Amino acid sequence: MATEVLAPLPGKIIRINIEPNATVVEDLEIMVIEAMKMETPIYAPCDGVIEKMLKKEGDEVEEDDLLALIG
Amino acid sequence: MISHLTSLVKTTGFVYLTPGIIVMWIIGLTLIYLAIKKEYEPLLLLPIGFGILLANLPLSGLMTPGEGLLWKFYEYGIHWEIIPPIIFLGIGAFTDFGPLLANPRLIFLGAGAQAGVYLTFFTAHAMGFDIMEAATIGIIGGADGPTTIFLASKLAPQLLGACAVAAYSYMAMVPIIQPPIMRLMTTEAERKIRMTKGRKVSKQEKLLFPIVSTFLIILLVPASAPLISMLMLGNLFRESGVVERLKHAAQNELMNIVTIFLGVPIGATMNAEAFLQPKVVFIFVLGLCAFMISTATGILLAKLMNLFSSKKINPLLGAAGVSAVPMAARVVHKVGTEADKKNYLLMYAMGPNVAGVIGTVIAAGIFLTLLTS
Amino acid sequence: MSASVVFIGGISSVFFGMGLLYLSIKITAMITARLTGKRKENLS
Repeated sequence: MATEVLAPLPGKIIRINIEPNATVVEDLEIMVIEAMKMETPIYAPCDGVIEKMLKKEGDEVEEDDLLALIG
Repeated sequence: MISHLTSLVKTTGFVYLTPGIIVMWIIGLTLIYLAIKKEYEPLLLLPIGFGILLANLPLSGLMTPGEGLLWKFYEYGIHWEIIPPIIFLGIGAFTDFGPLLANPRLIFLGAGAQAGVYLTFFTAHAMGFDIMEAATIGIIGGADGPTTIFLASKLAPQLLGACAVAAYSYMAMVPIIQPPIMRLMTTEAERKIRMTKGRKVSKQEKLLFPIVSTFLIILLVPASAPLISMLMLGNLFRESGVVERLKHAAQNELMNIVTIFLGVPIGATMNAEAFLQPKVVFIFVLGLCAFMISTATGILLAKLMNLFSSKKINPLLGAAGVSAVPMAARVVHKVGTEADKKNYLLMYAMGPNVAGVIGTVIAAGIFLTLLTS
Repeated sequence: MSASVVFIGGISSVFFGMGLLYLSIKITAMITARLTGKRKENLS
């Protein structure tokens, strides 16, 4: 069962640190969302492999948008 | 020959220089330095700093009533109350009331943080400031530049420069002033509280809000009309989605233009005789206290609300009740992530932050109504 | 006007004002619910 990574706040993705299929551990910084002119890092919620990266750098996201799937 | 020379020298400003004037130059240059080198609120401190220099050049006549250029900026822009409402138009166009609509109870944190305003008002009055001046000093605690200027121009124009500089410098120092108070007043466990998600707010609701609140607030508190009407008009521009150009103009061009006409004359009100008084030191000290108390009372109110509510509020959000938007919200978020790095408080903090702006406007409106009637 | 009157009056009025804002949010939510509710009825 894949774990969903949801956007905790609306903003713009300015950096993605992980490639699809990469292995991640919990609390690893996956990407950075910029909101209110502040950079907010998004961390992996669990250990696993990035199955899918649904957004790319520069994308605007809303709260609760699906960012990635970790399997 | 000699007498000709002396009369020539007398037409220059040099012979009118006083130590006070030199001190003001140093203050003006310091503000310019802070603005450029440290980037402390450069948009305002730079014009204010230059305005101070201009006001302290003897014989320039820039602030001569009825004639001087900067006097005209001041009289028609600030004294006639044109600039602060226009700034509110811009703030309205900037502001997303979404977080507020999603979590309406967080509004009261914006009220809690106004307690510092009134406590400082009381202290300043007890220390011997007259009641008008005390109100103006208190409002610094709201940490809202345009509102401070608006109130000062009405109640105590002689303090305008000092209060405006105090308000804007403390706003720039939010990330330094607030965190120690926030850490002191909350436990690690409280800082880790994660907020329950608010409901989704529809576009329609965001569109209706400025209209409904304009009716309700202005019908009930007519004195708040100039600022509230512009704030909500700006917000309507934003949420309507059909006047992108007007929204942009209000946010950018108009805002930038009034910033110029605001900063320079504010600086220019700070001439040596008016500014170099022991009073001014007290204004800065009291203003800082106001700001710190507001931070503390916001947090206390959040804790109080937690006693009665099953859905716990992270008390850090109370600190965002001061209106320095969005600096206070960012600080809340940062302090929150120090305790739990996956706790995203930013958008929740925007609610009380925006409510804080409105709270400060209301506080100013109340001072005006009570003290000028 | 004495300072203590302004002090007490001030704080309570700020909370009153915020209550007002709270009320406008609630009313807005109500109107929105009404409007969107109606539209759904029309569709069905």
